[in-house]
Amino acid sequence: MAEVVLKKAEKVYPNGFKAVHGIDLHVKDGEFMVLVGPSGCAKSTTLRMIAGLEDITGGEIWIGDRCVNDIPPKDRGIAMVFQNYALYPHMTAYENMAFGLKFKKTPKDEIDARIKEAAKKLEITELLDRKPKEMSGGQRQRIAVGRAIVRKPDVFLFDEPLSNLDAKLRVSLRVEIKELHTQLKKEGSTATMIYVTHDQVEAMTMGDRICVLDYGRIMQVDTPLNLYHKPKNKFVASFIGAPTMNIMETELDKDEDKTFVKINDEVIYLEEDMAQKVDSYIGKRVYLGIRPEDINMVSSDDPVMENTITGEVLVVEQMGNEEIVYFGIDGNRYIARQTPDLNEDLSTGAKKRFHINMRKCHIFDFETEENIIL
Amino acid sequence: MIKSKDIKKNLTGYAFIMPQVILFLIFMVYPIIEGIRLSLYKINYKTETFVGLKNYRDLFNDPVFVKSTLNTIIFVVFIVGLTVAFGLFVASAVFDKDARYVSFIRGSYYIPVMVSMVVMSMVWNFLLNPANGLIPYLTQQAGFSSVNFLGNKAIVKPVIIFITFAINVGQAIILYIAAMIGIPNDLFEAAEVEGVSKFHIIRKILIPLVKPTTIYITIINIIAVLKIFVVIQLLTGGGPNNASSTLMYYLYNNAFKYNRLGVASAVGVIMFAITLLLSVPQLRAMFKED
Repeated sequence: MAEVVLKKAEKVYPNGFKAVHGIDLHVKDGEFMVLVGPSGCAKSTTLRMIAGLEDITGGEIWIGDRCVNDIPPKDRGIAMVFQNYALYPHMTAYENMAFGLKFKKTPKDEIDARIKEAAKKLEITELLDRKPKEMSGGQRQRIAVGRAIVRKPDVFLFDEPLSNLDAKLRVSLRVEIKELHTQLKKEGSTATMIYVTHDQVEAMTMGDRICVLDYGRIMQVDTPLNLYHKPKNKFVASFIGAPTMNIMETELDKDEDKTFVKINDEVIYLEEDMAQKVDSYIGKRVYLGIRPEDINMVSSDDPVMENTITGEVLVVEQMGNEEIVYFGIDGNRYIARQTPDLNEDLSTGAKKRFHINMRKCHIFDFETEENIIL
Repeated sequence: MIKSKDIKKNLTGYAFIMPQVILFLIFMVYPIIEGIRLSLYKINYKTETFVGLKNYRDLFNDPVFVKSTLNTIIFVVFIVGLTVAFGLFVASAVFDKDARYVSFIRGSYYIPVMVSMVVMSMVWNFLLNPANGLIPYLTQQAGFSSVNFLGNKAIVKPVIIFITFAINVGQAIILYIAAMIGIPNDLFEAAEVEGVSKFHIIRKILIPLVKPTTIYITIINIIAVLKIFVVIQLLTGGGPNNASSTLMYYLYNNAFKYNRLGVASAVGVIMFAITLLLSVPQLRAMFKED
């Protein structure tokens, strides 16, 4: 069993700064949990608390069936992969991988067998005799992962391991790490992995579940799809997803039987079932959240339809398979994502109508910023 | 091949380094050449007689030169060894502690380095004076017999070694702390997670990673101790019975007391050759591409 459980875990620094505000988190055995959040959200601090590199000032941390609060890092059954690889520059890749095992008095033959097995898995066999400076960033990080694997830990901890790599390599390595997780699970190894990143794409693509943190508090823990489609609050909604969700400050109103919001005097109606959920908010200010893909430009040939707004094209990013249209309404900037339409005039300043798919919108309380339609 | 066009292009650069080059040629290169030349002559006031390598042969037949050479080697080995070992010990013990504490340690050890060697030697002379020095007084109070630290053949070398080491070690500590602070912290954390003990972290990670600093400290200290003079001149005058005489002190005596300029130049040339040889690994390390 390699569950990791944080019970009201807290970190207060000697100067009184509270970095982690008593968080509760349950990472299941064999799960790939991603801790994600912006800079300063305490994701790395939380990981370091689990590793034992940072003292915990309140609450409890359990790994398996042991409370590890007072257990040193070496006895917690963890292995850690660092952002800067943390390979010893004066040792070869082989020596780096063997270093920790030697101090655990592991027999030489076993060390050799474990390193060769890990090297095969990570396709780094030909790098074993090289020193870190003779390797590329990606190769170094593979060695660092290999060093973690040979320890056969209960829990793998990754602290932004791909941040120093170029975009292309990041994509391929994140697939490899995910594959490694699946492979270890298949082999029956304990493969609980906790992965810290500030990159929400990395989080979405890798995590079985994602824990979104902000200012040392957990905002939401859920599967990637749930986070995307059912964000609990405005922070999660705007943090998860690229391009980011459009957030508009508006007021809920109702005419005879339909609930609506106004965007620059244009009326947008809510779906029936959604309207019922927000009934108590009529007359109050709220945030309306719409994902870019739920806003589509309406062709000038299309008949006038409901729930459209008029905006001025600011910038268009052509991605080939899709286009990202930045448009402005009354000084605010919004984003639409759509399939490219070569016949449309998308020059800067062009006035266009955009249709909002209100079936997929989110409405957040103005004060608490909680999602009120969940 | 350097084209005249390139020279023209770089003229400003050459003009800027010219004053330094001229000074270097006059005050460094010329004296070295002149020193080598003089070492091949017997000089008697204004007359110079070419004697070939006689000065060198005489040197190796002079027991005082041999003794001075041996003393210098002993000083180099022990002072440099102690400086590197103690510098490593202090720096590795404090480099990762609170910044204010590290500054305090750095400051404390560096004060003697900032004070002139002459002043430090005089202070030690007062402290060790057998008539009214503090240290002989304390040893007497502690029940030991009166010890003349600088007049006893058996202990004068250890005393000189200790004093020079105490004056010099601050420099090594400063350099080691700077080098150690520069090592990424995650290397130590990775080792901590892997269960490596503090002792082994120092032995297997810290010490190998500050190797360039160790080479640098070793070389500059070897060169400095090879030229050790002020401490000897002020504390012992090379005595008792040449027990603390060094190459530099021997050179000084020959040049300025016995007026044997040719012999003194030969000693200078030998010292220059040794220093040059010792500088090779340092220069190599400096120019080595990492």
